[in-house]
Amino acid sequence: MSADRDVLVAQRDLAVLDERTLADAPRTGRSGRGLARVIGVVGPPLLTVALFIGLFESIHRIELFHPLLWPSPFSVVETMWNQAFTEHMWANLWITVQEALWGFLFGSVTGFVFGVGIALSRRFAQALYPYVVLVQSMPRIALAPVFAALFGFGMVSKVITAFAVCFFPVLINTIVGLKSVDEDQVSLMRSLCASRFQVFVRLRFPSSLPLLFAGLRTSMTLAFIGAVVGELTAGQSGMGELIDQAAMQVRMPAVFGYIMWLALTSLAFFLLLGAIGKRVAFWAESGADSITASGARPRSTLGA
Amino acid sequence: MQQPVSEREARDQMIGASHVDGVLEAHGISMVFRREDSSLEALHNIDLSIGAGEFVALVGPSGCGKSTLLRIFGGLLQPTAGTVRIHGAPIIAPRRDVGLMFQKSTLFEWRTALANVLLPVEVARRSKPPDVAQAQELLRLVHLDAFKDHYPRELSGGMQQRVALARLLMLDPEVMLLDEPFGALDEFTREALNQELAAIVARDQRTGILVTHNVTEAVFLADRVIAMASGPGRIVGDIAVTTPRPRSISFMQSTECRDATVATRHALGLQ
Repeated sequence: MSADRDVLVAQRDLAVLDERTLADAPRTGRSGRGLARVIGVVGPPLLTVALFIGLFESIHRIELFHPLLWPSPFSVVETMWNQAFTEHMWANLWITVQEALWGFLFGSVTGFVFGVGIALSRRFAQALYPYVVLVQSMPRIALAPVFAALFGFGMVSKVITAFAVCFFPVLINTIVGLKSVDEDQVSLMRSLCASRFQVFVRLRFPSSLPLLFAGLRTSMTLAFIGAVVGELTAGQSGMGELIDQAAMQVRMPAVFGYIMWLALTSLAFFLLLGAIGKRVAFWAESGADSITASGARPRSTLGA
Repeated sequence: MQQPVSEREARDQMIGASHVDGVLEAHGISMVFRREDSSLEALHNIDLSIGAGEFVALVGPSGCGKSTLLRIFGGLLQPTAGTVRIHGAPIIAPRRDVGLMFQKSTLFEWRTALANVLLPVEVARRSKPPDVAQAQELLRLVHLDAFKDHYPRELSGGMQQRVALARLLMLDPEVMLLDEPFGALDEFTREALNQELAAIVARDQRTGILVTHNVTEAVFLADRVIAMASGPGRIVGDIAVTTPRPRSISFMQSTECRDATVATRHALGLQ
């Protein structure tokens, strides 16, 4: 099936691009020792941050935008520090985290179950797959107002928005993971008289784990996006609501501060999931490698 | 009252399975692979009979259908025409007394060497403490007892194939089907593993089919070398090698080895 590959290719960059660029980039700072080596390793990313802050500060200084609209990065950091001592922010961040995690949980469980169905049953695949591709190419985040209208202004509508956006990466990666199993390994299981169920439990499922976790990581990031968009659309509480309020009052350092806290939280869960994935699917070099490996695997049983 | 007859028994009676020549028999095997707009005849009218304890090498160029024939013997493929039988019973599905080994180790990356060797008994739903002892014994047989807790990616290609060999032996198969098991390894490793394989096969007097594209390897290891040609896949030579197995390296200098090699190369149309 080339269609699942296409969809996969379309959405894989989110979770994987970071690792791939890191892996492909020429390694600097390998040589040298002691302090020189530490600088070699830590230097490049620090330089990037410094350039980034410098750029922001310059835009602020030359007043490309009104200074109120484009704050100095230093005032953003100061605001973040102050925000960290307000219970208000933590309470709202906790709401967003709950929405994102519930959406992630429902989304990935549903995505996995449907993915297993589509990968293992031809009937199921024929019935569902065209719609999967159709819905996948649709901006599902735009459904947030619909969910708000249907499920109200509470947490439920945000959980469902998060669910809607993080369902697909898990679905697609489950399908591709289960299907890109090594055909000789399947033959081996068949030669041992394994049942279809045994082939699934002992071979297909474990060998899909690296791709499944790549999908889960993508979904984790998307779940936070879904929850925040839900809050921006129909907010009562949560980080989206805080950002919205602060923006209305043109408190730009607060807006950037909240966004940064949100980014750090989402990153923490992304990294946590990555660490879990590394433990569970320990044999895969990295998410990037497992995707490249599955991409180049058309096989035939012809010939000797 | 008549005893209920199983499906397999009924079929055996129908096709007269009482007539048994060898352990493995192929009669009039043809295999046609159909694609959307074309079809490929991979095997054409193959007859082959392999006796108990006989070790046969299928040798031929890529595309001569030797792997296909092996998979048909293994019950993984059903031929378009003809029948394959084991002890007179038609092979209609894989069997636990027929073990397969592939060019790739097909080890499960998430299992240790020991757990990989135990896979067959787990699939057969009879994993018991004696099996663990047997698996460790088999790993010792292939000189990997020190590596039982290592994962496949921590093992070299040759070591991975040793684990695969131990796994193959776990169910104590009567017939071993080996599809270029060491074909992806370097020459030194391949020769060492061929020696070990020869010793193991000869010790247990197992019936075996080895697919290879290496004439020297075929002559060195087999009682019979079956030469195959492609387009469509067919048998073009059946060369007996009578020197008892396992053979020492001095066999390579014997007249029989040279004669069998020449005969095989001649059958294959090689100079």
